[in-house]
Amino acid sequence: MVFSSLLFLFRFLPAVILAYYAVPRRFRNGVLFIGSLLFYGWGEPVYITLLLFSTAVDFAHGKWIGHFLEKGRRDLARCLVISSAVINLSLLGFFKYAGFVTETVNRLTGAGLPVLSLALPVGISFYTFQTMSYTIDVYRGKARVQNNIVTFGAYVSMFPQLIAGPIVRYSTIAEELDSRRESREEFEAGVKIFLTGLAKKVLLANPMGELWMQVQGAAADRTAVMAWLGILAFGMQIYFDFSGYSDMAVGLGRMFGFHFPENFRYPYLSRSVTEFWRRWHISLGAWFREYVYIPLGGNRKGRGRQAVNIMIVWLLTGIWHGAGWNFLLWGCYFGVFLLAEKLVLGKRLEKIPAPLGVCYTLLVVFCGWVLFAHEELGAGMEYFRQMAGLGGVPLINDRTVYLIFTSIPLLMAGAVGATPAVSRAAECLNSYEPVRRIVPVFAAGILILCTAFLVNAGYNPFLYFRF
Amino acid sequence: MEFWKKYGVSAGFLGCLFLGCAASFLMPDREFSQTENRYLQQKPEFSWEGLLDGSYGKAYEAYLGDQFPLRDRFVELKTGAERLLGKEDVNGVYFGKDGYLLEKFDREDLETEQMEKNLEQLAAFLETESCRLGEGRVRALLVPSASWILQEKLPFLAAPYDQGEITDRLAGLLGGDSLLVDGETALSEHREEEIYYRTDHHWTMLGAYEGYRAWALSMGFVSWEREDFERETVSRDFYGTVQAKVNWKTEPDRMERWTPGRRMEYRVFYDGSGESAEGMYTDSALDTRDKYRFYLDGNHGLTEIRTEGAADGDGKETGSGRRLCVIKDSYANSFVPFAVNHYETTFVLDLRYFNGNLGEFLEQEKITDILVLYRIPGFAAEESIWKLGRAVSYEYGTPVAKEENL
Repeated sequence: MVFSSLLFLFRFLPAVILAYYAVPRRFRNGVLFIGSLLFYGWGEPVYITLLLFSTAVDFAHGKWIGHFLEKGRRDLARCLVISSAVINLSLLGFFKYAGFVTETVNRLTGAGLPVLSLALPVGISFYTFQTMSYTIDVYRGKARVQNNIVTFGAYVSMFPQLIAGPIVRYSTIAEELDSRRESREEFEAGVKIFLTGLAKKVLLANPMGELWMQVQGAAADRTAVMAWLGILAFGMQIYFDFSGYSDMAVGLGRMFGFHFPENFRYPYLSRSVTEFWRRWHISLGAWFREYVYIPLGGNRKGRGRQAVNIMIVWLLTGIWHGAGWNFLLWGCYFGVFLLAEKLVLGKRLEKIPAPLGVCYTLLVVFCGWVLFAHEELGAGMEYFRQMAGLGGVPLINDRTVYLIFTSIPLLMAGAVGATPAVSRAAECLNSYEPVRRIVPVFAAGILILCTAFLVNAGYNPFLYFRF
Repeated sequence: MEFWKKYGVSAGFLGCLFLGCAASFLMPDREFSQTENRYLQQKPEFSWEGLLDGSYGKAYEAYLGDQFPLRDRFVELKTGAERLLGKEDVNGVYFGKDGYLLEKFDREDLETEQMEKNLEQLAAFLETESCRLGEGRVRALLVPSASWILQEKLPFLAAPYDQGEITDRLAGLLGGDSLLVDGETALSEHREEEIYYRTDHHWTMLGAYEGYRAWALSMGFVSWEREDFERETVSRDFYGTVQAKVNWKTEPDRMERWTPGRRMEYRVFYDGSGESAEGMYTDSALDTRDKYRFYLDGNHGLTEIRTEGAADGDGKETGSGRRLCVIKDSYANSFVPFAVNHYETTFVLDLRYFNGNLGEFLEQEKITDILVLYRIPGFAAEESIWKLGRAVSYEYGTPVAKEENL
């Protein structure tokens, strides 16, 4: 199930809210756990077993690690941490990368191994990372052992962030899992964040996606300007999609009394690539820093080692986004820029005017999206050539003009939406009494409009000239 | 008021969710959507197997979407919001001037592999049949859709695909355009008149008439004049398929019936029925949503029309033995009433529903003239054109007696 669906909004969410607040506090984690399993399994229930398996394995590992630590057997506890990581990474590796690896081996050696084509279990990249964070944090003494499997299950399967993050480390919400205070104020704040996210996803990301689809479809009429428009739309789509989803997660969490970490902080206003990655998908960057970069030695073992560590982290970040060479290359691409900024560019970027820094960052990031968007590397390269006006594509044509002209309001909304301007304006207006009164009406209007877009998605006029 | 200011958003939010939820439970389910012209998903029956293999979950989601309260109003709201935001096309439809809704086609929509295959098959068919039946007997009329002809009606800066490119390709395959009727020019000359519906993808009776004139000119016989018909408006509240795509209220369309001034007798047989229908127009269709079925009773695999007193526009009787076969999509439904006046017998054949061997049919029915009539976007996507190949590979027995005195 996804948040931006009628099923979620008009069936699942009301039911869960009702059940959650109807039962006594001690059963609330149970409601979340069961609700989350339903949420996860709707439409494809097979993989619930995987989620339950992951939950049980890490719950047991956590308990044993705690047990051995108490007995002073750090060595055994360590073995269990490794075992937990191996199991989680094998799950991820098997379901996400097996097909990619066998295909690559086949291509390199001509071995002709059978290629597995499994449907990727939704959210596996997120929840395996979360459960790993639990066992590691227990081992490190940063988190206490969770003795209630329902509570732990609620953490792993927590539907608000189950399928698209943010990656909430166990230690972040450990306390809230056991004792949290829901309140009307928190609920109110949560609804506002949720609606912001829903609007970002439905009203901005999806139309941006349509624009990108049109540019992709218009391969034979492509122009250099259209190629730029397309990648602009794609970059906007992925930002509003992902950050909208994170907002919805954070907002839903607040409705149930949880505080998840912020995942996006206006990344498109960053002045350097380094800053961009501190503001884009923050929870993923934090995870890799905490569990890969620092354990590898971070910057404490000399420059050469740091450079290697950075590249390792970025190759992993790249491949985490998808099993494909383009994602690997995409990670590598950012690794190179981050290294360059660390070594030479950084100082200079600080000196240039802010708008120039932003332009530089946007250029790097959006060119990166070309790699990200094309799973076939050749197609990505061709797209780069078209952006550069090479390969015989014209600069502009009538179709491009029409696309731009009819997208101006959307693009402007996207540009404004990617800055804090909207929330600042909202804050500003909120201090006026009469405005505060109509805020709820406005919010309901957003919900109704989003509903209209969702209903339209399933509207298929059946054209009777075909029959 | 204090409560409203502090908790109004959650109150409104929960209010909408629970209201929407309750309404969708309480509102009676609809079986059929008039606007979409299709059957809607009904409530799936619960079963544990269905739940476990996911099929119940998927069907339930489809059901909720299809039966959502005020569904059509929501679609309208979405269209309105997009228009307000400067979109000139929504769900593949241009919002044109003067209330025109026009289907939007881009290069990649029409220049598909299917279209290439269709053009090759059509070219082979035209060549074979023209060779067999003789000169001035076989024609193809590919009609551009409204967005290409009515460019003045398109929204600001719209850049539609040039559908003439497809006719040009066909001419290229045939090595000339002598077998092609130039529908584009004929329609363009009359683009100031109501030749296309505003809310439907078809041409009007008037548009079909201009197509017919171009065809007659190309075939070399005298067409009937406009004055030779009595025109009568049969409906003023026709909303067609293009309107359904956006569910946007515009002025409805007018439908016409053209009856010859002279007395003609038609006998119409649908799908091999032994009984003659009342005529080429089905009045009962006007009371339904699918009003276009008025013309030739919608689409039938095979329709036979026998005309008594068939004659050209100059009054010259065409006599017996001239038998036309129109191979077509629904664009021909309003065209055929003009063509039949020139032929003693006319067969209207829709490849989508015709499963016989075309070559055998043409031979058995002693067809002398052939017209292939399609709307270009429909032709490009049509998946039954391969059936023309059955005639190309068919071994005809006795050569058809060619009439010399045309």
